[in-house]
Amino acid sequence: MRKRNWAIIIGLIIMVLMILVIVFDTRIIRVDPFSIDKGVTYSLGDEKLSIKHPLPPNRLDTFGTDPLGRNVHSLMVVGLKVTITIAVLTALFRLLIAVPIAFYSGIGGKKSSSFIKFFYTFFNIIPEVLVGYVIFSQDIFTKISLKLAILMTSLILAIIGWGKLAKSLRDEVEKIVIKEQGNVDKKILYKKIFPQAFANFFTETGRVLTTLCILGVLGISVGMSKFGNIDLSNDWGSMYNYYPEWSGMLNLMRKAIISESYWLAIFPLLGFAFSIIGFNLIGEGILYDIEEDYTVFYERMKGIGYHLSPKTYLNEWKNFKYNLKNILIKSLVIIIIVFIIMTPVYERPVEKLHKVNGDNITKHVEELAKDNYSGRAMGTKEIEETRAYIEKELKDIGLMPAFEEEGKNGNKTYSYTREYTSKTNDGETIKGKNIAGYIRGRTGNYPLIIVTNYDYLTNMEDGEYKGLDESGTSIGAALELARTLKAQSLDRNSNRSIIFLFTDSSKYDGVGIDEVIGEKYIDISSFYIYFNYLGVGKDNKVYLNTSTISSGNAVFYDHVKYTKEIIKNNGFKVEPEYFGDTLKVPDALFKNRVSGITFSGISKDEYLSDYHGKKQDNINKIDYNKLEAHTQTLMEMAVSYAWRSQYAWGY
Amino acid sequence: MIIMKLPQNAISYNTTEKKIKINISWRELGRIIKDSYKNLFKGSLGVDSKGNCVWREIKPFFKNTLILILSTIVISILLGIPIGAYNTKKARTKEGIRRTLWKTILKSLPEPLIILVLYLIILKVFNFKSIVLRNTFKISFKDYIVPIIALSIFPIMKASKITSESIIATYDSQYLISAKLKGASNVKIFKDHLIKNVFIDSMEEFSSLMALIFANLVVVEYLFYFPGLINKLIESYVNKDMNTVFSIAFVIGLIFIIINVVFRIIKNVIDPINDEDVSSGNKVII
Repeated sequence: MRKRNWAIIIGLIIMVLMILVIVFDTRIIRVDPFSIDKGVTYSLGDEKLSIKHPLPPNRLDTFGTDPLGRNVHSLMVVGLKVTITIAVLTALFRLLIAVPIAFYSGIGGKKSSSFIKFFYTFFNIIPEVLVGYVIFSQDIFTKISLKLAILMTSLILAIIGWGKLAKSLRDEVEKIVIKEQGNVDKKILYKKIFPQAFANFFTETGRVLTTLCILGVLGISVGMSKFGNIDLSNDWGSMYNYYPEWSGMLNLMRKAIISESYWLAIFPLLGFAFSIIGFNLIGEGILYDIEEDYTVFYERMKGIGYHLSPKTYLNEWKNFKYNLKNILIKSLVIIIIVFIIMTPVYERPVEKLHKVNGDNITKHVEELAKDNYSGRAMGTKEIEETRAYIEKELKDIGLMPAFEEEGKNGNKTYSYTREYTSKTNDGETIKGKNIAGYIRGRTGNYPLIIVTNYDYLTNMEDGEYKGLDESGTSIGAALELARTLKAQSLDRNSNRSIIFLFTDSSKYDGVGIDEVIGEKYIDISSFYIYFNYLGVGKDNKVYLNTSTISSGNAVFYDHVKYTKEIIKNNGFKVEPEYFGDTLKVPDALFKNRVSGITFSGISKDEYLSDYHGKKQDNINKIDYNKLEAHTQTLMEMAVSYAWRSQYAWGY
Repeated sequence: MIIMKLPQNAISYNTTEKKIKINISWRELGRIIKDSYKNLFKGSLGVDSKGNCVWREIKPFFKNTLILILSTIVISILLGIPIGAYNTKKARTKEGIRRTLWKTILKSLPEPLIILVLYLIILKVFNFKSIVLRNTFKISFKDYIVPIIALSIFPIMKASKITSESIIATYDSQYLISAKLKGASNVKIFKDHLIKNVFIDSMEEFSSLMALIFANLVVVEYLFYFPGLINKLIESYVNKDMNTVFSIAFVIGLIFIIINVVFRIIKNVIDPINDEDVSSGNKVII
C-alpha cells in the first residue's frame, strides 16, 4: 500500500479551510470591513477619556483595529478572496505563457530559449518586487475598479514573473529529451510534463502570494484608493487601501513596527504564511510523487475521481457495513452542502410586502419640478414652498409630528417642522428648518431614520437649478416610502419606530443634522438610511456607503448584509462607495456617531464629474422605472430593519 | 525602467467611461528613453531633479548597500557551506515526505514575517528600544548587525541547500568512486575533489543566490529604514526624482553584474572543465 502523502493532505486541509472562509466570508464576521471609526473622546468630570485607533486586539475587535478604525479580523476574512484570486489568476497566466515556451525551448527551440533566458536573467538582476513596485505605484492603479485591478495586477505579475517557471519547466523537458535520447513522442512528453505543470501551478501561486506580501509591505494595494483623502492627523499619514485585501493591509507594516502596533502586521503576515504553506505543500507533495514516478500522479488523480464519483457513493451503500466510515463522511459532507444551499441568507420579515407606487413618485417629482419650488436654496421662498408641500404630504399620510414644543401654559404641542439657527464651519450664520414625522414601533430601541435633504444649491448664475436628480427624486421617493410603510404598519405594527427626516443645509456642512440630534428617536442608537440621486446613473449599480458602522455599532452589520441581499434581489449590483464629505448630510450623521447606510444611484466620481453644481432641470432625464425600483428596494430595506423580530436581533 | 520615466498622465483611466487611455506617442517614448540614457552618461550618473550630481547624492547609500550585500555573501558562504555539508548525511538518504513537509513549511514563511519575528526576538533578548534607523545615512557598525542577520537567513538556507546537493552529486560521480577504489584517503578525496567541486557548484549557482539577496534587500532596507540604495530609490520615486531612480536602478544592475562576473572568473580559474567543451557536449574531466 502506498504511504500517505502528508504534504498533500495538510495542504488540502488548509485549502478547504480557505475555501470555507471565502464562501462564508460575511457570515463569520461581525463588523463591516468597510466601516471606519475616527475614535471618540469622553469627558468624565475633569478627566478626558479617548479611544484612538489603532486599537490592540480586544473583546470587540479580536484582531484589533487599524488607524482608520477598521476591524482587522473583518479585513482579513473578506480580503482573502481578493488576495487568493490574484495569486491563482497570476499562476494560471504564468503557466499559459511558460508551458508552450518551455516546451519548445526544451525540445531545441533557440528563440524560445533566448526569450526565457532574457526574462529570467533580467528579473534576477532587478528584483521582481522592485519592478512590480514601480509599475503598481502608478496613479492609474489607484483609480481603477476592483475587478480591473485584479485582472491587471495578475497580468502584470504574470508577465514579470513567468521566466523562473519557464526555466524550471524547460529543464524538466530537457531532462526527459536527454533521457529518451532525443526520440520522444510529444504526447508522452505532454503526459510527463503535465503533472509538473500542475504541481508548479500550486508552488507558483505560493510564490505570487510571497510577492504580493512584499509588495504590500512596500505600500502597494489593489484597487481604488477611496480613503486616501482622509486625514488621520497623526503619524500614520494617509491610508490608500479601500477594498479589503491582504497586501493593502501590510502597507502599514513599517509604521506599525515603529509605533509598536504589531497586530497590524502580524495577522496579515500569518494569513499570507498560512496560505503560502497550503499551496506549497500541495505543489511539493505532487512533486514528491512525481519524483518517484509520474504515473503516481495519474493514479492519485484517478483515485480522487473515484472517491468523489456519485456512482462510487451509491455502490458503497450496497455494502453498507464494509463502507460505513466512507458513507458517514460523504453523507455528512452532502448534508452540509445541502444545508448551505437551502439556507436562505435573507428572509422577508413580513408575510405581505406592500409595493411602492411609481405613479405617486412621478407625481411628486413633477410637482417639485414646477417653478415655484425651483432651486430650494436655503432662505428662499421656493424652499419654504417645498417645506409646506412635504409637511402637507406627511400630514395626509398620517405620520405623527416628531417635534415637541412646550407652550406657555405647560401644554405640549407637536409639529412637523423645527426651525434652527446655526453657525457653519466658515462662521456664517444660517437659518434652516428640519421636517420630521414618524411611525411608532413596538419598541423605542434602535429606531430607523429615513433621511434625505430637501434643499439644493445656494446659487447658480442662470437660475435653472431645480435639483431634480439630487433632492427632487429623493423627496418623491421618501414621501412614497412614508405612505407605503405607513400602510405596512397598519397590517402589522413595526418592531422599531421609523422617522422620516427631511433636512436642509446640505450645502452648509449639514449643520441641520447637528441641530436635530437629540430629538425624538434621533440619536446615536438610531440607524439611518440616507439616499439621493435615485432613478439616475449610467449603470445598474447601487453605490452603498456602509463605512459609518464601526465595531462599536456592530449590531447593525447584520442589517447591512440583508441590505446587500435585498439590492441584489431587486436586480441591482452592489458597489461599495465612500462618499466622505462629498455628501454633507450623511457625513454630519457620521460625525455625530450615528450609524447607517448611504444609498445612491451614482458613484462619487460620477457625482463630481456629471452632477455637482450642474443644472438638474431635465425631468425627462430621470428613468422612472429605475426610480420606482430604487424606491421599492429602499422600502424592503426599511421593512427588513424595522420589522425583524426582537428575537432575531437579540435585543 | 522606461515606466519610471513616463509622465504621470501617460496612461490614464477614465472613471466615467471606464476605459484606459494611452496618452503618449511612440516618438515621445523614444525621446524619453534617449534622454534617460543621455542623462545617465552625462558626468557621474547625470543630475537629479534639484540639479545635483546623482553619484554624489547616492554615494553614501551605495557604500551602505554594498557593505550589506558583501557581508551577506560572506556570511552565506561561511555558514551555508558548513551547514550544507553537515546536512549531507541526512539529505543523502532518500528524502521522506515528513522532511519535505517541514522543509516546505519553513521555505514558505514570507520574508517580512521572519524579519518581524527576528526583530521582536532581538528587542526582547537584548532589551533594545528600537532597531529601526530614521533620517540618517551615517550609520555605525552596530546598525548593520540586525539588517545583515535578517538579510542572511534565506541566503544561508539556499547556500546550504546548494552545498548538500553538490556533495551528494559529487559523492555519486564516477571519478570519486574511482578515486576511492584506487585507495585515496578520505582527507585526500575531501581536499582534492570534494571541496573544490562543491565550491565550483556554489559559484555556478551564485546568480540565484544573488537574486535572492537582492530580492530580500528590498524588504530589509525598507522595513529597517536602512539608508541604502533601495530606500533611496523608493524615496526618490515618491519624490518623482526619476533621474535618480533611473541611475540607482542602473547601479543596482551594475553591482549584480560585477559581483556575478567576479564569481564567474573565480569559478573559471578553479574549474577544470572547459566551458567550450561543455557547450559542445563533450565533458572533459582533467
